[in-house]
Amino acid sequence: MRRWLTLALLATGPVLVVGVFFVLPVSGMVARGFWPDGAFDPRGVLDVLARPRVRRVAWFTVWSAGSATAIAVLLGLPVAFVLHRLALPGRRLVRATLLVPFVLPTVVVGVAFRLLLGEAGPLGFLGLDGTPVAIIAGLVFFNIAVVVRAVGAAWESLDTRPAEAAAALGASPAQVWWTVTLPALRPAIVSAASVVFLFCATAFGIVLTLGGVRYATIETEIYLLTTTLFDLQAAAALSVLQLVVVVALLGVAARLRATPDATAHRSTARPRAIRTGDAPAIAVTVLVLIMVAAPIATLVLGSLRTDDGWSIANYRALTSVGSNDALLVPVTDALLTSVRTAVDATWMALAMGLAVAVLVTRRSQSRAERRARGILDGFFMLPLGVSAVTLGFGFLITLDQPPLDLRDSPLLVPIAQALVALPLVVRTLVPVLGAIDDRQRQAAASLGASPWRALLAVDLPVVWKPLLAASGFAFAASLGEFGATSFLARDEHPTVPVVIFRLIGHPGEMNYGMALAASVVLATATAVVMLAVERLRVPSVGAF
Amino acid sequence: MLTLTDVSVAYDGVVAVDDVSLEVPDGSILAVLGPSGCGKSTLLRAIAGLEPLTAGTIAFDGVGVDRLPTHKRGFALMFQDGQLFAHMTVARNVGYALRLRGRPSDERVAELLALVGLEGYADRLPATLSGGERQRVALARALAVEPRLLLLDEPLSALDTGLRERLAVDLREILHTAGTTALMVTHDHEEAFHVADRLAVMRAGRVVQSGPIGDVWAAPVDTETALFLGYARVLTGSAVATVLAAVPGHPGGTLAAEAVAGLAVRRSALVADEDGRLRGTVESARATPELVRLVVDVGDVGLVDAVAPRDSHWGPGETVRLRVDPTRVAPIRGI
Repeated sequence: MRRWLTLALLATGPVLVVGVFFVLPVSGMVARGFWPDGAFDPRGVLDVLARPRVRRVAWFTVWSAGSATAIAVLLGLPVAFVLHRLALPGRRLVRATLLVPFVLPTVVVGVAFRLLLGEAGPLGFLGLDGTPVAIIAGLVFFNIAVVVRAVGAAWESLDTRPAEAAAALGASPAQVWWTVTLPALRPAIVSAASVVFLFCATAFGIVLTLGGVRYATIETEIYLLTTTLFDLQAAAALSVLQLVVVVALLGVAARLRATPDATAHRSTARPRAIRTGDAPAIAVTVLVLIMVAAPIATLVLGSLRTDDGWSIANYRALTSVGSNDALLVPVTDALLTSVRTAVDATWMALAMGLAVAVLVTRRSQSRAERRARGILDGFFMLPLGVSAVTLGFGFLITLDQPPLDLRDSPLLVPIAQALVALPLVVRTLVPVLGAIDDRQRQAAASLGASPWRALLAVDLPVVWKPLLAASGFAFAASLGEFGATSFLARDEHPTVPVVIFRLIGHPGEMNYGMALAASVVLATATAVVMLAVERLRVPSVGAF
Repeated sequence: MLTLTDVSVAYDGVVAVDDVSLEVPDGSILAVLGPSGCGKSTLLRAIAGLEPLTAGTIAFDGVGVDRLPTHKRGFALMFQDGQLFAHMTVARNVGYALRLRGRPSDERVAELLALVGLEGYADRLPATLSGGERQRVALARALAVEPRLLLLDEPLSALDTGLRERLAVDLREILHTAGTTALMVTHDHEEAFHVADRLAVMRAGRVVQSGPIGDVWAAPVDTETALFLGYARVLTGSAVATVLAAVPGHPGGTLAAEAVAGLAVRRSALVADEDGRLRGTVESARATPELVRLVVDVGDVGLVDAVAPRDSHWGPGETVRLRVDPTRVAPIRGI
């Protein structure tokens, strides 16, 4: 009975928050579609799904996300091998560098790719600007870190002895890979692929900046339908479609995610010396590094360029509101708003994430308890896949009347961002907490430690670093959050990603340069936070 | 025949295997015996091609193999915990090497499973097997393509005592039936005696003694080796002559006191016997299921272990006469 009471007590807070700020807005949005005029009308939703444009958008979403996932996995595997298995000098730095794209603000990535592939850009001759290839390249750029992280972590803790046993039985390196290593890595690969597909299918900022109106995914279409065409029924229909697909995918991902066995001894294999046979994998790694570095380098160079040659004028202009009064407040003000918002979002995500992680990792004593914890785990992962746009729009339409009139509350944006960051925090903490052998706590208890003392003695020493890493991760993610924020940020208090998006869409000679400079500032901030996080050496950061 | 010549292996400059030379004649089983951390597993991995040599050569039948990658050496390696492929059934595990060579054969797999006494296990998954069964499957898998050399890394150490003894006898029989040349490393001298024909004792990266197992057993090269081979104490000084003189029949015979620097005695080397030539005082007595174990203070020899029949009764302070069992003592020529 006491166990259930503790469980309920721990669960109340997060469930309430996720319920009010996630389930309510999303279901509000969905209800808007099914009950357009107060009467239940599922027909309208079906009609929407039959529209040719909607079908085209859905198909584009699936195949662009599918190809981006396939490419990310194919490129990510050799990189994961090189960075997690070989004694490559400077591999920690490379690993950290590769993680940066994942937390880069989507808008920044979009801007960087347009600069790189645009007519005047270094790769302009390829004519890729505004094509699906550009979108897919952007998606791969974003998500390759997820594959490298997830598969790399699995590869690193993979026992080398089965592979050695196979080699001793006469298997060539290729045969070892197909018959032993790949089957062992398969859960990690499939789980990484499903998460990457999820991210690609719900990508917003990238597709919006790179695809324009021509190439839309379900996510950008929802945005278009709500903000430009005011077709709420269609938007709701698409949200439902997305929700169903995402929940199904999350289910698959959760099933495939290898749960760490707390009692098993986990070892990290010593990285081995580089051999000539590793050349192809290293070549792919270098290629990926160039792919990741090129847009960023172009962005930095672009920000330092004005019509009169190299200068830092674009950065100076950040204190202004841009040409033709593009903005209501200077970019520097937006930066302050961004940091303040991110700090709030971070502590919220952290408090919730910690409670959730403790909740789902405690050893269950009965089947019912285990099932309850499993359901809660899945419940808190929902924000990972549900469109940030749906969330933002849902906030607008459900939290606008008493008792929950939060439209003008300064906490609205941080709450939305905290929800977006929550799964990142949970996924960073859960493997760490799950890996603590429960017998350690039992040993502490048997020596006379109260549950709190046991927590202090057993859990805290293990968890403080991942906690710090998770907060950095959440902070970086919230700094760059664009989907929900673009709906919720008020014009006089925009965050930097919102400002950047406005600047690139606003004519005026200074505005584009300012957008680049602001992107560099934002990218630097998130990169610095991520590099600091990487120094904490928490393997579960970014591994889903 | 496997020939190691002056083999050294170092990790980051720390020497793990130091100048080791060994031979394993065809059809024989060599046990490399040593405490944990002595470098014996590293030596095994080096022979398998899993660790690069820093010096020396490894040759098989006179042909150097040190440049060959693991999978081309034709040696099979069996790990301490079997390392069965968890995603394959027993039959697929055993048939793995056959499939690699493009000649899968259900008959051969069945034959191998019969050899290790696991008929009917073909469709089981490794996770459903006991530790002993897993080792048997690993052995069958290693023997499948008749490797010219079988390398065994502590093959029985992960098992519990009773099973270990039974499987050791089986292992020897299976290896002899298959005519396999084998090299096994172990830290357990009993395991080595049960399985091997030849013994090499390793300490701190070096081979300190090697030869036919009986020879090594009968004449350990130094005190540490003797203790590692299971001898309880090593007597030195005048104690050596005193004990040797008490050997019935041939006092001073083959074991001439002057040539021997020390005498290694097993715990059962001294036996309580009314006609024994040694006299001592019982310090303590402890009954075991088979016999009574005594600790006896014998004049200038000092404290020694001794045994008495199960049904005898001894108390501290009692006087006891002891006879020496010459097969349970071993001379040590250099301490």
